[in-house]
Amino acid sequence: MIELLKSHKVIICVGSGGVGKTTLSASIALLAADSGLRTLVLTIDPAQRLAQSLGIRAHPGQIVQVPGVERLSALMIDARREFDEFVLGSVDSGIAKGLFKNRLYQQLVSNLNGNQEFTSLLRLLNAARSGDYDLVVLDTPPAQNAVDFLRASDRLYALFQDSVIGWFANRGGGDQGFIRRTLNRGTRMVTSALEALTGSVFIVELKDFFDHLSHLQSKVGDVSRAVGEVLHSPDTGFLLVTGYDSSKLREALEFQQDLKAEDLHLSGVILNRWFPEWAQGESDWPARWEKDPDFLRLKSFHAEFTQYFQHRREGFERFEQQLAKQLPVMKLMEFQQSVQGLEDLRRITELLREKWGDARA
Amino acid sequence: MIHFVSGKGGVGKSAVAAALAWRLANEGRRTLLVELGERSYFRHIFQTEVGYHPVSITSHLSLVRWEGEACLREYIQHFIRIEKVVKLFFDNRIMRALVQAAPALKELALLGKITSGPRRIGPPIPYDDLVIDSYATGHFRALWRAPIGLGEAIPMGPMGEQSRSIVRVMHDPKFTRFYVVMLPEDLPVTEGLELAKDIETELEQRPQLVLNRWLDCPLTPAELKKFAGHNFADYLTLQLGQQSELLARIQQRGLKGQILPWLFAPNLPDQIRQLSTHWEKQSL
Repeated sequence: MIELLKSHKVIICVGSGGVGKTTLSASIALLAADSGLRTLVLTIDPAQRLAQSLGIRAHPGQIVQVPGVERLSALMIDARREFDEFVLGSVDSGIAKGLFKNRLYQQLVSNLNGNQEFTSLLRLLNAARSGDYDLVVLDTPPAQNAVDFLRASDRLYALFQDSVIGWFANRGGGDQGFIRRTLNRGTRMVTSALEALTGSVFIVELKDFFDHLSHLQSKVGDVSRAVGEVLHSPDTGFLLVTGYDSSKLREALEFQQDLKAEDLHLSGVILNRWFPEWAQGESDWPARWEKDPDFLRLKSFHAEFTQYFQHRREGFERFEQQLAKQLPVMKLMEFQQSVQGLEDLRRITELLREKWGDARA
Repeated sequence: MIHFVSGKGGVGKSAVAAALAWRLANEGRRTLLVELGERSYFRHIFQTEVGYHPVSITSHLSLVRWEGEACLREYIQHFIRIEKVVKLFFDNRIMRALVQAAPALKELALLGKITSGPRRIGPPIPYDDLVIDSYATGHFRALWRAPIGLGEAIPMGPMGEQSRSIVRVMHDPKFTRFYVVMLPEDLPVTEGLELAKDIETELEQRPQLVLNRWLDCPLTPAELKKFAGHNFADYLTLQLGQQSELLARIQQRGLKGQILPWLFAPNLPDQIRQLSTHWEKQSL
């Protein structure tokens, strides 16, 4: 694992919701820092107590030195604020103010398609370029499917396509209303249909929204291109974090293909919360219990439970066969208590350090 | 009745939604299980392709997958009625880009479709119940905030009016119910209770809590004490302690809800069927 971290500048942890991406990102960053790398971990929505352990809870949007850990910094991304700051840094203040005043922006920018993804990639880009870190670890926003992360910033970029901007926005267009600017009869029908469906107030707001947004067009384009370069760089590796159940494993396989299709580098798979410790091997039962009826109930429950894990193991074996042969796959056992403090993270760090090498054994 | 099922990622939302749908169908209600988005989760479970038009699973249960663009298309078709113009509308390059990009449009179209029955808009939906396998917490909030936001931003015109009528249906317990699924673990409970609070404040509804994957252990903690030191017994003791602690935390909120057991069935279809027989058997 340490070799992997040392040979990369960016590690991106991806996976669908509820698989433990945030905790693993923090553990990986801790391992890197302990191994001598100046490391930054970017995280979206950490659990409160984890955020507290990392020292970022009170400082959303700021890079914070993690207390008690040399070389480790952390940042909790606040998408709304980041996007506002991006707007302020990209256009002059009059236009920024106009956009902030737009009612669609006010109501919906937090939920804008791809906004969270865009802002976390923006932060990643800035951190990677700053030269302050040997390694940046990115915990990706929660998504239904892991692949949403890769496509989300394209979706945001779709907002800035020439066609949309040109159609709605009125840059230097004098007094031409956007309806009058439409050229052919087909478009006119479409436009009036849209107006009939949504109402003129909506159209006015939408137009104002795109008007202001149009000033961001070239800046967003620059960011998207630069982000694309970082994502495709040989120094960037993706780690797929997945759970054990069949639907999660299936998603992981699909995502492996998605990454390949996008020409991105999958560095490994972490199968999180695999087995609890007791289910790892055979159980020894002291002979003196044999006559106790409670023991018989315990033992038969144990058999039932073991079989359940056996089914999972088989599902996993089918999954493993479909992964690329040389890809490291690591199973992390289930921790019974939730992982919250730095000591908990260190336990995971130890497992990552020790077990990564024989991951495929 | 429209049932929205949500919760933190990985808590078994989809299985719980399917179990509820299965249950309703077995009670003789015509039930539609609705997936949202571009990929079907249930296609492997029910072994069928799932698209915009419902497919029958049993005599009373059907399955459908709705995504924003198809809903928008149907909505527009309903209003414009002239197929040629609808086609023109959707084949228009700019309009396609707008549909992809405009804030909240897809969410609005989805919720518009889901609530079209009570609002008497669009083609009739011939089902007694819709069970919506909704997004995980964050995306689910974004979904309902779209019509609330648009309704407030756009005081006049059809768009604002549609938004407000969607919100009215979602506020009304006669039409809509919410379920928040949790596991007996710290994070899913914390996130679930936060979601429940937002549903109460923003949608003015009291959601039902579902505590899923509850460990039904045949031995009590007192009985397990005899076997202390053995890793399996210790695991169970810890697990039972943790889940009763979390249950107490959930009960403090005073919301209604139920417990669903951790089932050891080897595959998801069996799990869903078994889960449905446990529905509302054990309240919080």
